[in-house]
Amino acid sequence: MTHRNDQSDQPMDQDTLDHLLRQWHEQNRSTAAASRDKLLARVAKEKTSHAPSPPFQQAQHASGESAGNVMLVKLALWRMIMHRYTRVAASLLLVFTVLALLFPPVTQQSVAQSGVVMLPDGGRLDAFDAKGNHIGPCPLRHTDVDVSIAGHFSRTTVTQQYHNPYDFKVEAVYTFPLGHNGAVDRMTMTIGDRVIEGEVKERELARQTYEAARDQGYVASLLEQERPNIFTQSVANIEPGAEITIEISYVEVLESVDGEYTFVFPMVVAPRYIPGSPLGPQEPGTFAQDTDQVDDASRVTPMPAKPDVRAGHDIAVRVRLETGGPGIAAINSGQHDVVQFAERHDGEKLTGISLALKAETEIPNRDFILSWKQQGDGIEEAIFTHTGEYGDYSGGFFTMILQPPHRVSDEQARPRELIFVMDNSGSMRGARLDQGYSALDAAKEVINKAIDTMRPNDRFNVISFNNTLATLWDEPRPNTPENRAIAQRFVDQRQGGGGTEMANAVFAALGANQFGQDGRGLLTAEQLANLPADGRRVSVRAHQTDVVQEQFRHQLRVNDEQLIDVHLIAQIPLVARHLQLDGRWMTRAGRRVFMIDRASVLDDTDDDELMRIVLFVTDGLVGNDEAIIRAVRDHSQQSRMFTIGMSRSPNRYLLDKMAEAGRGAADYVLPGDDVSPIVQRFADRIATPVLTDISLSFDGVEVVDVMPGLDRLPDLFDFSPLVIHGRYTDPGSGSLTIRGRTGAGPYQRTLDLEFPADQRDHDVSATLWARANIDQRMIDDDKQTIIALGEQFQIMSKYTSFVAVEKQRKTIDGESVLVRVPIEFPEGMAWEGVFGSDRGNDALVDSVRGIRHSPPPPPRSAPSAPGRQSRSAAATQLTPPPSSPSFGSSSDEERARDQGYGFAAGGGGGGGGGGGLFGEPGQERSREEPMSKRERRLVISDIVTDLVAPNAWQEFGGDLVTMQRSDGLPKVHRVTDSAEARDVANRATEFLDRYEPIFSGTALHSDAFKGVGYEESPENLATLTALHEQTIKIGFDAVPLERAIGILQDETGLEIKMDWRDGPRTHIVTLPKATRTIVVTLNALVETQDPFSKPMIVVRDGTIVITGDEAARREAHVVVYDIRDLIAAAMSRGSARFEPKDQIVGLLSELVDPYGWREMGGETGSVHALDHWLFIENTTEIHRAIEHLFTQLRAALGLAAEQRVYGRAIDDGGLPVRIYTLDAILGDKPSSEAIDQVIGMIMSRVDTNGWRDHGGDVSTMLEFASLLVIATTPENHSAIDELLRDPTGQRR
Amino acid sequence: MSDVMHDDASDVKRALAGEADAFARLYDRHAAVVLSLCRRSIPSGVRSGLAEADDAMQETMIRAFRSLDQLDEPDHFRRWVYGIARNVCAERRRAAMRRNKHEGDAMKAAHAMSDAGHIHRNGQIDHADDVEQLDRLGEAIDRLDEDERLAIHLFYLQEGSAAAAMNAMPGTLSRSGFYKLLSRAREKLAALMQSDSSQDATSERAV
Repeated sequence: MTHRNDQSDQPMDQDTLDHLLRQWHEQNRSTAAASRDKLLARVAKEKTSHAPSPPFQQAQHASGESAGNVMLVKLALWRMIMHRYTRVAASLLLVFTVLALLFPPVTQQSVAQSGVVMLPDGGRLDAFDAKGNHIGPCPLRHTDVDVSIAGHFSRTTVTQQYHNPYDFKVEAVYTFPLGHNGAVDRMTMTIGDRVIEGEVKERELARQTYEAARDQGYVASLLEQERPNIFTQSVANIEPGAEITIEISYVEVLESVDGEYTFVFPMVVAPRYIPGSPLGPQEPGTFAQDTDQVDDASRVTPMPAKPDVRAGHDIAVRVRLETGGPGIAAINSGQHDVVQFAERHDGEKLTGISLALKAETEIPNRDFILSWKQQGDGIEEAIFTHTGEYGDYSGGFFTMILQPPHRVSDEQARPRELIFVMDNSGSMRGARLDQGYSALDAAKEVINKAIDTMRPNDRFNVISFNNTLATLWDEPRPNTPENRAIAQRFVDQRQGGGGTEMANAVFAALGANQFGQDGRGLLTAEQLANLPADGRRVSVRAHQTDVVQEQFRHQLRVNDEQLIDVHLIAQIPLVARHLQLDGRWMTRAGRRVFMIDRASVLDDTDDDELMRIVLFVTDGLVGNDEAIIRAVRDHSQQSRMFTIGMSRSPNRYLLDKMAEAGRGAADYVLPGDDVSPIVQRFADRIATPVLTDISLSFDGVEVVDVMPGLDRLPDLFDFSPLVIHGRYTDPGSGSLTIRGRTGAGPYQRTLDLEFPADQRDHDVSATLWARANIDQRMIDDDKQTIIALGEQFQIMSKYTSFVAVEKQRKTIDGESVLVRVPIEFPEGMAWEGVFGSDRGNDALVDSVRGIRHSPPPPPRSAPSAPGRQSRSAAATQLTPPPSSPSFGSSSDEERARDQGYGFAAGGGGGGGGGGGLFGEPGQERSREEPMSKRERRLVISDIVTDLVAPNAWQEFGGDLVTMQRSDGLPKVHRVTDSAEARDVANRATEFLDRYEPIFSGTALHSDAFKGVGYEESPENLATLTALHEQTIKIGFDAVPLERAIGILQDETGLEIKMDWRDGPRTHIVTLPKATRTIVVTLNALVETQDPFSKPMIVVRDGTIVITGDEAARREAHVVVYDIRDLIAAAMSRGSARFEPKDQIVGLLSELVDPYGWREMGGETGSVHALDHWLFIENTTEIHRAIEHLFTQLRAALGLAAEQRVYGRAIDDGGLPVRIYTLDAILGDKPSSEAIDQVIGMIMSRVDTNGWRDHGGDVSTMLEFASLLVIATTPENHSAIDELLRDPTGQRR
Repeated sequence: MSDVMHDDASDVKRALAGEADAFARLYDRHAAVVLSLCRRSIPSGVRSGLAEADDAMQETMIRAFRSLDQLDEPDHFRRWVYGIARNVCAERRRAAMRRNKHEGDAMKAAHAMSDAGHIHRNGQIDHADDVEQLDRLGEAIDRLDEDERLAIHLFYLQEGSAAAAMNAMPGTLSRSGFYKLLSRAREKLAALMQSDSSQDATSERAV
């Protein structure tokens, strides 16, 4: 709380204050005056129309607003947009439109429509524990990268230094990238002078080994591969002050294109789009949940640090380059400044260079790329062999690096069909390649230029995709100037935004649909017959003679035995040709019928000759890599796929593999690159590939497992080496013949081979072969083979991990705290570009999606709370949301706002403002920031000063006592030496002492205290039971209130006191005769016109008391509640989108005395939170209600709950509150989407206009721990009950 | 009863009879105070406070207009409309808090934008220092007791006429009682403002 001050100051002088007060009030006066006419016009209109008026909020859009009114309307809109249930309204809209799809049945399918927009939601400078609490600087201190390039290979050694700056043990988890072609074959862990070699084990086994070691207190490390280019390093039991070094080493074959060699070290895992629907709660420290399409999303989406925040670790890179012969002509490291510190010469030639990053501690936020040219126009050919024992694969290995023929121009231009695919997702817009030049701009430029390089007889089409797919034409059109102009305009008009649903674009580009294999997306009749006839639209390829007519019935021949009924709306052409039949595949009167509404002739003749080329321009930042690669491989028989990646940190693995699977080539546009040469290279590649249709044949030697294959070799589009890995079983000599086609015709070359019987050197050959083999197996997910390869060759794969355990020494002292090491946000990427979209519809969709991602990642597991952790954990999670990303420019701001970036980024989820629960302006402590000792002290001061004699503190203008800091808890000092001051000081000190274990963070259980929670006395319990359960049939007709109460006392035998000082004692009451409970009767009697003094019915010392706010306030007292179990339950069960403490406070503020909380503008109550304790000052009645609510929640959550108070939960409007568990319909861990759907369903079916959050004034619905807490009328409760039992409504 | 109160009562009656000007007079008399009461900041942030308060004030006045016929004692229009304002604001605060809970970050983004130096309000760009001061004053006013707050608003909105302000206070107050209330409020404000500014210098603000 900011308003606490540690030292006293001079008050502001009265003149300044007076001036300010005048100014402040003048603002109000003029604002009110500005609104006058509009409001009066509205009032006048209401008067004349006599019609029921629309909700107020909609009334403000009068025409002709002044600037102020425009602002007002804007704010109203903003508020509407910002309002949670407007988003629910948006989901409602969706629910309405897709209701048929959603129910029946409620399955995962029902949410499969919605993608997941990945949303980094705030900067993380530091480390977080398992509860998601911030604990301080991250333990990864520094990364050293040592690269040794020799000839065709590079070996990269990455050294990570972990350091534990805390006074408790930590477990560090760090997600980072490595080159995707690399074979990771070494991991060591160094502690002091002990070096422990890591061992490759099957992934699960490695994890078990690691976890067992961790739990027993051994220092252990585990390296897991999430993607071929994304790895996770975990290090357990790093002792306070300890330093642990992890060394990871991998080898890869250098890439070279047209004489230019490139070495890439990726430094950052760029945020990726995660398609699919979420499967479970989100892991802390990550920004995406696992989904049905990406089941390890949480492992590949480490939370980046906000751009203006450092993740706290840095990187140094050193490279030693030896060509082994040829001279180095030009060397360049595009994205980093380097210094060259050594050169080696062979005569005149420069054959070796050593260099390092200029900045010794660079931020790892963009890929390190080193490229150089070698003198001479040839490729140094090399054949390496190695023999060794590798279990099942023992024997000889070879690696060949072979020179291809030089490029020869193709004289005969074959007709081509070019499909240009552009990714216009948010990440493309967000990634800046240069000042004012985004990846999307580059993509447009590439495609527009590529369109210009087409040959006259080419045909072409353009597709763009984000969440949705936009195709320029139904089918490719000829390359005419007009069509080119149309296409380029189409490209220019594409706006960035939305997700990256890449698979759909792949299908579309390759001319396949999700069911068919046909290059044009056509099904065969047989495929059609195997599809459910559910009314779907299909296109079928058939020969004219397959459509047969018997009498008046048409049928389509599937095969010799099977015919499909056909209903012809269209005319079948009579020429004997292949046809494309479009129509619906449906079931009519129990028969499956193909309703053909269009039949066209397929011009098959050119198909064999036609070369179909897809150019896919994207950053590849998606999580479902393998699925996309598979899609390309499966659908590219008649097409070739070329990819161009653009971003500072593109997903090279995906782009390379897509091109490989599509028998094309990948290229990259990097910052500062001119796109023209890259487009020209693409044009050259497709015009005149260097070598195509490559096959290999070995003679005289037995070879097996040749990678990438003997006849399925990728075409060589560039003058790049042909790299072949393989095994040989028998040593000896023989030859290899390479065959293929060049632009000039067939090509053939034969080399002599010599496979030695014993060659211990070059063991890298075995490693690289195994790695290449794993790559191939990955596409089919051949897990067993991959595990065998990984274990036998001791290399990493998706299914094999490195694990190292230091067994010499055991650490002591409890569990270690999990720390996720944050990563850097990729340079050049814009936060806002990652979400938002430019079109309304998308904004709507995004906004609906945003709801699932806006909250901060709450903890998943119940807190294991050793004392230390408690102390280090943030004291209150009820504090505010994380600071938002800062926007680049004002236009960005506005756009982002208009586009719904707000909710997307709206990660916060934290409750109100500062140390209090509901927020104090001016105190916006991000929940990402640590609860420092100072902050904890402030929260404690706040609790004490607010709950003990709030007016006595000097900090608040009082003059009796003040709070002073000390080493431990704050100390209370008297300012004056009066009896009053002594009394307050004593009370405050007692208070501090009493709750010392809570304030110091050592109290874990409520057992430590007596009287935690509200406890009811037996007398009160009896009175309460009577008050709420006893009914009476009574009515009054213009009777003074006091008399009415007297009558009621006599009739019921209950004692009812009036302690209503401010109330009109002569109030005259009229009440129709009816049977009501006593409490309802009393409430009706004291109902008054004056909202200032509405009295309360309370039970005090066994007596019913009618009392005003004032009196109630006098008897307010503090009760401490332990909500640890509720928080834990919410963590383990909740939909993981809201902070449990926020939700609990939300429940209190909505359902228990909503107008009373001081933090909410009320007068009576006050809530403070520290760790899992709530300090609540309130009246007995409210404590009773709070305790009751907690009891109900505990019961609904299956927690042992002792009923300690009397009660039926009712909200302030007297509506019964019920708690609904969704387990029955959604399972015990429902996803946020599923909960949203249920909320949407309830709001759309029950009490449609009454939801308070939706403009109504009846019902309230809140979510907690996958429960719905609803206050509404009994009728609505039954309707909800029924709805939840039978969501489809079929039984009704 | 003062003239003001009499006016309220007759204007309520006239407004009920359909006289448009009567409600306009009620508006003129009370809208600014209502707006001031509504300016009690909500968790969504001080910066949007004025526009938010304007909305709340308008909603209050509309509600008052609609349920004017339920006002038994036209004399008590002022207290009654303050009561409505209080309810309206409480509802809005609840909504805002909920909003904050769910979309807090977006509001913080709005803060971040305005913290960058300027604030757009009614199309003008105010100087950041003034805005800051006034916002802090708003926060300080929030911390006053209800009667102190009302006393301050009435005093400054009745053109400094203590008598009119005093009469407009609910309950009965002596002249010296009113001044006591007023000066207590001002002293509190002065203390809070100072303590705030020194706090600002030392606190690490997140945005």
